[in-house]
Amino acid sequence: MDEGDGVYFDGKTSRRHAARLRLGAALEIREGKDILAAWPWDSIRRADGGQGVLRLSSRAAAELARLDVPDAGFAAELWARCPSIDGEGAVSSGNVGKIVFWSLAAALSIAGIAIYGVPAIAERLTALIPRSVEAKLGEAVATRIDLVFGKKACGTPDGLAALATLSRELGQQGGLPDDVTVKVVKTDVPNAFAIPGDHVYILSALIDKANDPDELGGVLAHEFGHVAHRDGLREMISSGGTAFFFGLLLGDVSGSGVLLLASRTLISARHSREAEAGADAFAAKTLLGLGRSPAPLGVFLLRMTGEQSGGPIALLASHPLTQDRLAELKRQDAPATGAPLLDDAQWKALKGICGGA
Amino acid sequence: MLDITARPPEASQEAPVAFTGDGGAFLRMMFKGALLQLVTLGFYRFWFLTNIRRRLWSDTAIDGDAFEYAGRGKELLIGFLFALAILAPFYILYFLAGLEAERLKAFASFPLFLVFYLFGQFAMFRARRYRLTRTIWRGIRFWMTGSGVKYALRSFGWAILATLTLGLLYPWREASLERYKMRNTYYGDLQGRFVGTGWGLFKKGAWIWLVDILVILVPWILFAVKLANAGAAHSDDDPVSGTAFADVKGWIILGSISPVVAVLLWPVYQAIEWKWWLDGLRIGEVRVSSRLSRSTIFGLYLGLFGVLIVLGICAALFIGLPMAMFGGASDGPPIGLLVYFAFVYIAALLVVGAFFRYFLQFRLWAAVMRSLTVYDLAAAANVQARGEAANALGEGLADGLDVAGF
Repeated sequence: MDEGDGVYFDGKTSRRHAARLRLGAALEIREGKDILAAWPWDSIRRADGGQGVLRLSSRAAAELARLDVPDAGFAAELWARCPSIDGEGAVSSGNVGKIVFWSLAAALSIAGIAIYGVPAIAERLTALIPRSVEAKLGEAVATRIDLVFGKKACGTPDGLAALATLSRELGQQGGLPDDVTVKVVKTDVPNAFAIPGDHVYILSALIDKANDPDELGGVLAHEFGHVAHRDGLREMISSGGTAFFFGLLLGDVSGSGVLLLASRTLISARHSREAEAGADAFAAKTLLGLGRSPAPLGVFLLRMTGEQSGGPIALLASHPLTQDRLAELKRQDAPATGAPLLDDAQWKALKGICGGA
Repeated sequence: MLDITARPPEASQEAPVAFTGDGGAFLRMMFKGALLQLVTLGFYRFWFLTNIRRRLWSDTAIDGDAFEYAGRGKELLIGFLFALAILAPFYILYFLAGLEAERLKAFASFPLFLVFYLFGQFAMFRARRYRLTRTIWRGIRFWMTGSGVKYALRSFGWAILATLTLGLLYPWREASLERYKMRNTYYGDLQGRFVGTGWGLFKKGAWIWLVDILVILVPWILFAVKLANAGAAHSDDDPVSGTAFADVKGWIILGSISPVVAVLLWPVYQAIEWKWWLDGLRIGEVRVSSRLSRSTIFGLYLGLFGVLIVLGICAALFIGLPMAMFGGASDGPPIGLLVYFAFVYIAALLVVGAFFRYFLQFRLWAAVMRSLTVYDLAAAANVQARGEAANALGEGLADGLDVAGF
């Protein structure tokens, strides 16, 4: 069977040629007596045809010249004569093994950048970014936080004065700049946090639950540690960079986005554990400098968060209170030699900073 | 004597559109693709998309000759990498600009999203150009002229008008954008155009717009009136008390259900717009007409909905049973269980994604193609090749900005 029928398009016009094909030294394509084309066997490649149709292209013809061969038997015969039908330029679904291999290699490299590269860059950048730029950043974050907490900012005159005293004592001892702002916001969640640009927020429930000035002062000193070390800025650059990398590179991935989110949380938690330990050390040093023990800070933190076992959940907590941290604070316990951080009247005023109750 | 120059009969010459796709094979391809996407952390999507298009294109034939999709996964990957190089500095600039705006007023950065909107429209236009230049029929490619920037601005202007009129001008927006796309569309040397009008779509779809507005608004308006009356009647006590309170709950439930009713009309509207769009397409003198029925599209959504319900029940069983078994444990779920939940969650997402593509891409494509008749195809019988293959930058941008179609 050296001859068969096909439909030929020359790639220059859309004219449909009902062609007669002859399997000779090359694939000869005729219409009536005219030879339309002769495709060398090694130039022929497979293209996507319709159902049950073999569609061919040729490296020796126009890019879009096509030949459809509908008869399966004849198509098989023709196929057998083409030495490189799946060669370069042929249609293919992609080499799955190769795609998987390179994807994993790329994923590994991205993970490497996210775990080691981004924190390292954040470290360098943090040192390079001037305080004035950090202040701008902090202002933007602070405006947003103020908007979220709305009119719940607390501030009886006596309370603010007491807070200022406490901040000044701790700030001066720790060598912090004078323009650190400390705000109290009314919520039921006992927490405190520092954001870039020397802003510290204390949530009112934390003040309610503190038993004495040493406990609250310890927490404030801890947050001042974050300020001194510029942890907020570092964290912002780091998590922003990681999100940026993953988000951009992986596009709209169904499902695996969750895995990435989880790994990101792990990474930043690991990072903040180091930051927490650093802030603890800062707090301990500051408190000892004022002649107060850092142990109440540990007691207070334990009371607020409860004892955490070393299970998987503790690994994920962003404010992890590990046994190591507790032990470290307890180790530095020392009898009080300095004056109390606040006197009774001041402490009472601070407890009532959100207006009585 | 026979006059051989006599014109052909008045009735236009008709050509059929055939779709020979195999649904089972497509669904299998979806599952395999989903698994590979998972294994490659998403990088397989370039080849997955390419294979979907190849399948749909080559299963579609006009007048017996199948289309061909000549794009390659590698092109999409390269387009994506180029888009990254453009988007990365852009994202950083955007971040810095946002920061400055934030300082002036919290959340003032919101208008910067408009920049992303324009970028997205630009990307969609350019992605269409890529797809079109990879579409081949009878050895000739489709191609496109026109400017993505002009298109994005046009789209933005109309989007503002449509929003200001609560969607009333939406049909005119669609018509205008489609006219721009189609008059810049060519098959060889045959120029396209779009003859559908905003009024034409409005006439057919306005009732849906009206019903949706009424269904969403009326319960709330009636509720407000009732509340005002109740307040006037018992001005001395709390208007929201006693029997009035029972009413409040009823109205809130009604007000929440009504948008669901509005959503039910979405497939019906889709069918109307598809048919309007198809009937308005012209390439030279070649035109198509569609018999697409509303019940067909409604059936697709119903099928998808049914599958989602079944999948939901399965997921509830897979999650609920182990939860019930380990629920009593005091020290939280064991880590193995968490891994299992993560696995179930991802598997569910993949399966849902596969069925979405099956119903809203494969079945929709099949329904649309089978509804078509092509008229005056002879006008395309001897078209000269024109146009070059365009790069995949638009596809990459669309991917990076999450506005990709299929």
